[in-house]
Amino acid sequence: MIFQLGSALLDACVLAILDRGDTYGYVLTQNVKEIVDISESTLYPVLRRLQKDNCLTTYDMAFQGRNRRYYRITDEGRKRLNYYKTEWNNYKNSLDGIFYGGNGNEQL
Amino acid sequence: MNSFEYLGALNNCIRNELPADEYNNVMQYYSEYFADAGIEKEQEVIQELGAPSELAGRIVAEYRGRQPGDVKLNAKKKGLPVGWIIFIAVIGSPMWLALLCVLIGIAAAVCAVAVSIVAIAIALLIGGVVCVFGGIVESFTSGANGMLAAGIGCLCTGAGVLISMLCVLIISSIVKGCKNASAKRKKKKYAAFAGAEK
Repeated sequence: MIFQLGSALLDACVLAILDRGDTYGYVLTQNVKEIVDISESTLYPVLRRLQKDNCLTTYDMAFQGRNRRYYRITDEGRKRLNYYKTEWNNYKNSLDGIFYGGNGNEQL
Repeated sequence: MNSFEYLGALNNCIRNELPADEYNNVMQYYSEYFADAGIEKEQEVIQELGAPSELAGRIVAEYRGRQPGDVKLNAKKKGLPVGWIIFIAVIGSPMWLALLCVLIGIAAAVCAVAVSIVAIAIALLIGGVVCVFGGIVESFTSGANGMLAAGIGCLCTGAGVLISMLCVLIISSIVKGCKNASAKRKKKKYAAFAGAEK
């Protein structure tokens, strides 16, 4: 992607993926990588920050004789995700207004 | 490098930079990550994560809430750089001269005091003895005056003897100390020689 991905968009991506279901670090990273080109090392700080802000919680589950840490979105996280979605829509609409000269919602 | 070595290197880089719980979180996250990626993707992951020290730098920087460039890990703390030492020496040079003068002054004062004490002792001794003899001679003409002078002479002589004894004691102990020190140095020298010969 040629557009830069700010920390807010990255947070939004992670929250959106977790909103679909709990998952663990590796799968989460692969999912985000499908959307945007990030390094494997990008996500740990994001997860840590979101956890610190109470947007997600973690729990450990045994898997093949070791622990796997799963991430789950919290109510606070959903609130923030909704906020991001609204903001994104506003941003997208204004960009579409410039690009296509119409209302971006027509294409939804 | 395999994942085990990579995690070991990462561990060494962050162990002393993060609090225990955060350190544990980081190590768990990345060991899990390698485990989930599987052995066939190991090298790919290592390549993407970058050098362990770089990854550690990013993690620590993020933890401290700063830009990655601001944090340098394992930076050795040196003493004053040579440039600073020279600068201070040059700036402070007038002070060194003044300090030297003060030290010389103090040494001179100590010497002067010592010399004056010796002089006092000698003066008391000579004056006392003269006074005693004078007093004895005087007592033939006027008894009371002569006896007084002789008594004062005795006092002075006694004081002189006491002070000179003290001086002799102090001087001899200083001389002894010096001799001992030089003897020790010689002994060490001999010991060194003896050791070399063996």
